Parts: sequence; C-alpha cells; structure tokens
Amino acid sequence: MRLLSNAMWRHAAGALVLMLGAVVAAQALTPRSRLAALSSDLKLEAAIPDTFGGWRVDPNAFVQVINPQQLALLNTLYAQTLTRTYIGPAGERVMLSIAYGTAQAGELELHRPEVCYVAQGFAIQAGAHSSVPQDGRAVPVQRLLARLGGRSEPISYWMRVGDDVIPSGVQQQVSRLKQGLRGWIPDGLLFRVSTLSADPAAAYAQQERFMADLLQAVDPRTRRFLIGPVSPSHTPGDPRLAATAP
Amino acid sequence: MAVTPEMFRDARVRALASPWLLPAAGLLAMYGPSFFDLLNGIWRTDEQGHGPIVLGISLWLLYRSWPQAMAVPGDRPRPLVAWPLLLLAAGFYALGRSQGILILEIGSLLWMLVGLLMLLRGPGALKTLWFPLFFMIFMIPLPGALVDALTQPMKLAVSYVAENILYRVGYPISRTGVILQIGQYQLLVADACAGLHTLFTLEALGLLYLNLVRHASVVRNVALAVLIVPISFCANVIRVMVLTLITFHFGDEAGQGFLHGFAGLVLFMAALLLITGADSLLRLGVRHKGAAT
Repeated sequence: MRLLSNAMWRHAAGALVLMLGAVVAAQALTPRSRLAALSSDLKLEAAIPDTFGGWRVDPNAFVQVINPQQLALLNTLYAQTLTRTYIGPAGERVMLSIAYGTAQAGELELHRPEVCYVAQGFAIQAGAHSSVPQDGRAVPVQRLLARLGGRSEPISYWMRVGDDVIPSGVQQQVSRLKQGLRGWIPDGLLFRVSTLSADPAAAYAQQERFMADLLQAVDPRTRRFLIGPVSPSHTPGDPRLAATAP
Repeated sequence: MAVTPEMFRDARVRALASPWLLPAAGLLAMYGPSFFDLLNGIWRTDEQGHGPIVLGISLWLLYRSWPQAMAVPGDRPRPLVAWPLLLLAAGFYALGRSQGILILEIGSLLWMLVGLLMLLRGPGALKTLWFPLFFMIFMIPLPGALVDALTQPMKLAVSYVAENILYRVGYPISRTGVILQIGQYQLLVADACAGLHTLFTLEALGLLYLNLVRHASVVRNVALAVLIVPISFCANVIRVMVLTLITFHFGDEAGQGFLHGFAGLVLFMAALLLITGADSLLRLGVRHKGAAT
C-alpha cells in the first residue's frame, strides 16, 4: 500500500511537471508580431485608383443600403472595406469588394463568400479554380456562381492570409497556423469581384481581365497589400514589426 | 466546522491530502486562463451560451461520482496507457492555446482527465466517470467553418418546411433560399434560428435527463438520444413559424420583440413537450414489447 502510494506521488509529480511544461510551451508559442502593423497606414480608398486601363468608377452606381445588423457585423470583422462599381471599356459593369481584417483569429476570421452569400439567401455553386497572371506568378482565383431567384451573379475572388494567397477555406486555417507558429499574427484580405450576368464564362473572363488590369495599375506596395507577400522576410528589419514584438 | 475522522472517509476530502492535489493544481494553471477567456469571450454569445452550463453540470457530475470511482475494487493504474494520453493532451493544449484553436485547447482537457485517471487510479474509475467526461464534449466550441457547413443545409431545410406548412394552410408566403416573404414582410432565417447550437444544447440536456432518470431499457435510452435530432429540427421549424405568424398578424415590431424575448423560450418549450411526448410513446412501445415476450 505504502509503495503504491509512493509511486502515485511520483506519477502525480510527473504529471504536474508535464502540465506546467504545456503552460510554458503555450506561452512561448503564442504569436505576438502583427503583420497588420506593416500596412496600418495604407488606406484602400486612396490606394485603389478610380480609373485604370480603360476602367472607371461608375459615379451613378446605386449606394447599397446595408441593414444595421449586417453593418455592425462587418465593422467588428473588418478594419477596412471598399465597395465600388467599375465600368469597363465596352460598357461592362464589374462590382469590386475588398474587405481587410487586421488579425486572423477565431471569430475575426475573413468570411468566405461561399458562406456570406448563402447566409443572404443565395444558392451557391462552386466553380473552377483559375488564376490571374501577375509578374511571373499566378494568383489563384476561386470562381463561384451565386443565384437568387432570377438573379445570376458570377463571382471571382482570392484571399490573402498574411503572406499567402489561398483559394480555399482549409488552406486558410493551414496558412494561419503556419504563420502563427513563426510568431506572426497574419492579417487577412478578401478581394472579390462579381457581375450580374447570365453568361458565367464571359463574366469570369471579364473579371479576370479586371483583376489583372487593377494589379498592374496599383503601386508595388498596394500590390503586395493585395496579393502578398507582406512579411518581414520580404521587407527585412522593419521597425514597425519589432515594435509590436514582446 | 471541526475536522473529524469520519470526514476522511469521504474520498473527496481525502483527495485534498493525496497525490491528486498536484494534477489538480496543474489543471488549474492550464485551464483556469482558458475558461476565463471563454467566459469573457464566446461563452457570452447566444450561440455558445450553453458552454458554462455544460461545464458546471460536468463538474457537478464528476464531484457526485468521485467517491464511487475511487472505490472501484481491484483498480490498478495503467501508466503505459496514461503517459501517451497525457503527452498528447499537453501537445494539443500548447498548440491550441497558442494558436487560438479552441477545439484543441478545450478538447485537450478531456484527454488530460482520461490520462490522469488512468495514471493515478485505473480503468475502473474511468468507467465509472464516463458520463461526465463524455458530457464535456458538448462544451467544446466547434470551429466556425464546421458550424457553417452544418448550419447552412439545416437553415434551408427549416425554411423549406416552415414555408410549406404555412403555404398549405393558406398564408401568402413564398421563399427564396432562406428568405421568407409573407405579406409585405421579409424574414431572413438566421443562423440562430436553424440552431446547430440549439441542437447541441438540446442533445446535451436530453442526455443529462436520460443519465439522471436512469431508465433500465437501453432501447429506450438510445432511441430517445437519437430522436432528439429530429425533435430539435421540429422545434426550430415551430419557432420560425411562430415568428413568421406574429410578424404577419401583429407587425414587424411585435415580431422583433418576440425574437428577442420569447423565441428561445418557445423553442425549449416545444422541444420539451416533444421530448416528453416521444419518451411516453417509447415507454408504451417498450412496455408493450416487454409484455409480448
């Protein structure tokens, strides 16, 4: 009995050491450098040009009235949002929507359009993966088709989580985890364009042309803000990041 | 209160002066901050509001069955099973806590408790305490992506059924996706209405009910546990229909008032009635079968 009790104390002490070790490890692994600190002065409203490559902002685009609950959610999720309608060279209309959040964690994660549109009552059909060429790299783009009654809305979007541009939700988590373990709290950006069109194939081509034109037109810093990379390994020794480290 | 020798016969009191003291301190260091964060965070929201209740009930159930678990005769520790479990739990915790993955962080508590029981007492104690440990699963917050994936089809189904019933009885109602249009009003069936979380809460309450009542019939227990899923669905349909009808007959304001005041109550009343109803039917069925054999 005595022996058993001694062994129990030993095991219990071992368990306690393991548990305290887990607490210390969790503390050490917690990311503290906010990548968003690198772009805190970038304002989408000013950084995205009104006119470029034959596209111009539609001055008469009707201002969307968003219901107050929806607006409150958007404001808690995102630090910046930009919604514009552009008219193309042939009179085509493309709706651009950018949402930016400073920290990708738990409840503050970017909401993917697959989820958002369905929550609004749309039926969503996932389309193919595509890509937009930019400076020798291919930016992966996800295509969707949203339908509500007689309304058909082809959508193309990409998401940037910290350094990575990612096409799917699973990779959103993987990417966040990967960067988190390097000590970074990644920011997140959703770049979405859509058109009202009954001809999805033509609409996707139009959207990708718009995306490529826009990426070409913006300055390098804004481009990095839109498609990454933004991390210190690409902008070495940035003091703003050091300032947020513990 | 004077300390008497009798008090030490209670295993709960003896645990205070036993090796259990050490892991108890460890658990507090690990999960104290976790639960503090939860209580100040997502456990305050409607969707995860059942979390603290489940935690409280689990702890109470553990406390209640503790003496029994410590007194299982012939129980021997199994360190070779326990240590891998504890290491796994510690790893899950470190990863989950640091990277904000709640399913790992809070889920690791279960593995930790199972490991500790195997380390310090043995499989007999684990068997005695299986229900409170199993019950804790319901307090683990699910990842948002999973909740969304499961909630969307439920929302559509709830809207579809509510629309069809109201249409059959003659209301001017139509539906586009999850948006119901009745008269001049438009209602969006929100996440909360379709209620994956209400399903979880109801399932948890149902299991607790079964555990406390302790029916002898296994058939009846299992059947009722499974039936809670469709019951929760029906309760949600009833809630959406009641909300729709109130909005239609008494206006938007009344509907909103109902939504924030009584919708949850109606849901749980409906679910409770359905559960007791199903239980009574099952009892009849089981008794009838018992008499026949």
